[in-house]
Amino acid sequence: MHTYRYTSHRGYTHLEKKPHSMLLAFLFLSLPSCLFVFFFFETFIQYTAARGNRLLFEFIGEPQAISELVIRFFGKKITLPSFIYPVTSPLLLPFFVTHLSALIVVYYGKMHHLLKIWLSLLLAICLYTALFFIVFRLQFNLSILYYSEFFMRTESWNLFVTPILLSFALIALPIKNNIKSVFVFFITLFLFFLNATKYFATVFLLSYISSLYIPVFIFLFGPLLDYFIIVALFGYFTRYGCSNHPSEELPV
Amino acid sequence: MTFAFLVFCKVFTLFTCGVIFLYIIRHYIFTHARFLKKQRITYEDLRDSHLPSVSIMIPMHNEEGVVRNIFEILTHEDFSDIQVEIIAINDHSSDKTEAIVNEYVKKYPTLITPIHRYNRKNRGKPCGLNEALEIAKGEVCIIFDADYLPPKGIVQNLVTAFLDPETGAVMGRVIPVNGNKNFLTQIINIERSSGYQVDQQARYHLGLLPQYGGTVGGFRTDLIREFGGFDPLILAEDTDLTYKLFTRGWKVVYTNRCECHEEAVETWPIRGKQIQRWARGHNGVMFHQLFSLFKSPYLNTIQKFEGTLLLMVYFVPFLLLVSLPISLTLCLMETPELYHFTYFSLLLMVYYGFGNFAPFFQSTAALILDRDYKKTSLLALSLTSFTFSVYYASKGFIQAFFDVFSKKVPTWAKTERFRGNS
Repeated sequence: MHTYRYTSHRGYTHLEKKPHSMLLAFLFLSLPSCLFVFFFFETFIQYTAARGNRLLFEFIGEPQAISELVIRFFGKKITLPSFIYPVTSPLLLPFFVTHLSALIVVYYGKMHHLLKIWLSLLLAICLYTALFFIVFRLQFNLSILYYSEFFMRTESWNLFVTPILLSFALIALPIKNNIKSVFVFFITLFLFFLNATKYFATVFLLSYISSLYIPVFIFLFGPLLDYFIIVALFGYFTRYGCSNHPSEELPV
Repeated sequence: MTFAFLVFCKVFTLFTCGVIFLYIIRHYIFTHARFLKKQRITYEDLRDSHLPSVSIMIPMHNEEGVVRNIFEILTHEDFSDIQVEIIAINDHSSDKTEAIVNEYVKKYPTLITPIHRYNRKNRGKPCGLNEALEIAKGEVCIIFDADYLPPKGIVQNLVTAFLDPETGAVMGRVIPVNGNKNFLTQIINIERSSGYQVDQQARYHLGLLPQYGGTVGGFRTDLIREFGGFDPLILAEDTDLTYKLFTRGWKVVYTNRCECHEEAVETWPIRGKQIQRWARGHNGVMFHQLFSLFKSPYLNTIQKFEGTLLLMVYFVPFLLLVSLPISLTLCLMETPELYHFTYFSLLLMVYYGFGNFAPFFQSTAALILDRDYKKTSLLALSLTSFTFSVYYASKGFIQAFFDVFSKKVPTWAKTERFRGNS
């Protein structure tokens, strides 16, 4: 015997009195939190920059590290012709070659189909960055300072947008409004701590590897990670809310 | 030169952001309409004693593992209130499909009519359906893929929609029968749920353009004959028919209650091929039908706009794929600004990409309506299929683009079945 799934013919009217007030509330709630994060990071970056932290301004690995390596191997500094510099760079060339070989191995190798596509994408971003560095060396401006600025602005924007998007997403769901509010507040708070942790962790990692990884880091640990976590929590929340705190259905 | 290039990058990224933003708004409207608006009365409630006669068509190609199931279900169905014939279209099968079809034709000679297509110049579903249309006696044709498991009464329920003289085609809901088998089938289950329970239903109830999906659906036989049958150059004959109907003033009815089980693909490479084929077909329709959509006197501005968005669904992944290196170039060449488009693009790209063509809130809404709360925990993991879909849908778009110039009949890449193998 075939049984039909639940299909509502009259919609699913369950809203409590003023659903849009929740949206407005979080719009105003998200604004100060966003500004707070913005100024927090801004102050931190300006303070560190004022102290002359070389880590923030230099393109890590190039060209200071090259000079140090060359001096260590040859005992003196060797000046290469500028037009062939990026290609002959002791750091860039291995970077390019290893990532290109990795891309070929990943593309033709045997591994899970999804993993293959994801790794190919990440390697392609690395290769594109390296290629860009070779071709447009003078315009290349990636540094930790750039990363910090980029990260800070993205995340503060993100912190501002997320509560609004979530509020919109939650309006129609048959869960009690107070529970929805707690969830949005919790997510906003969580994002704040997550952003700070992410920032320090990624800057720490980047300081040990090359700045050429900055685009990959932005792609992987930027909004992508945020939304992965937000949607995961959203999924668990709706499951919990619908099971334990459903709003009452009202006739249309 | 550099300045012009940067301007181009910004304009392109801004355009992509704008398009994606439109889709997000569209899906918000659908989700809210599905939950909060009063839904239209469905045609099943108008069941009449006199229903139009039906030709059930089952296109098949190497279906030995699944074809018995659909024959068993349909031959044991009570068709006392409706005149029915079954047309089994065996299209160049190299396995035992032909023998199985003949076995059932022997058992039910008055009910089943076979078409064995071998050594034909053109292969594929549209060509097979065209041949079946030549011999179909029913006023209405109902299509089921060979792996489908139609429940009792579905044919009558679908046909009831044709009591409305304005109805040109009808579409039912598809539910994977193996929805809990592995991670991929679970993700497909969420997508299907979202696509039918919210997307199609909202489009129908808002008076927009619900899509005829090519299976678990039907159309008026004479109408399609009048159109000259299905175009063999188009892989997505279903989408093509949807637009032909709407632009000529006909209606497509979506009936959410007519649920039919299908077999979802169980491996990622086959899923990739399936998405690629859909994207190729859908984009082919976009190239063919976009102009006639704008010209149609039967559609209002909102319907035309929605129709355009629907046609562009498989073009957007390509747009995203192109905008990724462009936004990366911006990121590498420019100092960050507060309203820098790069991160905005990334943010929206990721946001939209979740759940493969359906944002997470729409999928959640569908799962809640289906009372399938457990699957909401899987929503975040649908991110894994994001790059996958973008890659294969973009490949499909590029193929469709070259199809326009080559004018060759595209090869029909059939989706492999799993039921018979396990």
